[in-house]
Amino acid sequence: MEREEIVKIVNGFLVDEFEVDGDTISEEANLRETLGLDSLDYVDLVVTIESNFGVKLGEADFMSIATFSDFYNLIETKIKQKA
Amino acid sequence: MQFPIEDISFLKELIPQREPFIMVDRLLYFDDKEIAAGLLVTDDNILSTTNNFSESGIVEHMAQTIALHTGYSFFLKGKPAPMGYIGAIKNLEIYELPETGTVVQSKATILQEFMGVTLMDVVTKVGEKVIAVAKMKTVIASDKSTDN
Repeated sequence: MEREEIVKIVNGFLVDEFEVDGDTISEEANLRETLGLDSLDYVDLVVTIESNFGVKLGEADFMSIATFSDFYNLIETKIKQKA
Repeated sequence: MQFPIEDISFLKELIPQREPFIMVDRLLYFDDKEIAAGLLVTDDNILSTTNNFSESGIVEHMAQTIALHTGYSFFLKGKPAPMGYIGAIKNLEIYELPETGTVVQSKATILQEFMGVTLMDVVTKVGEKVIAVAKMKTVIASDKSTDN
């Protein structure tokens, strides 16, 4: 899967399912601040990523994420590792 | 241990709730990812109405089934049952209120665990008939005495 497609899918469910304002999403924006999710929401995010991409994210994965770009890269890396 | 476990004194040690708020009276199945528990709905149950188990009763039965999963898994590790909380309930659908005198059974399956939050899918039946479904997020209270 190309990165562009990953970005499109991720942004799509963030807007549709997590009610994130699409205008606030950008490669360099801070992920946590922009999403504004609480700890109960993150489990939904993990489930959504797994159902969309077939990859599982752990707590350690989120420690290294600062921006949306990091987030997309992580998913891309996980997908490549799975293949 | 052999299932079902119907020793109510033992089951009470596995969950934080106390009488008259005990909404599970049998442990039917357990593994790392799944549990099934049941309750005979009596007329004098605090969450029964005139002839039925209330919506609140069904939700509490679901929640205590999940609590039982946590409590039994801690029991197997030789630890006391921790205090836990329902963080969120979503996609709750109740199709039917069971009559008093019937046995309700809930099966809870862990869908995801992340950052101390557990997302579980719960299906409640009377016999083979599904009467309610829900997804619940639970959080175990932080307690150093239960930490590894």
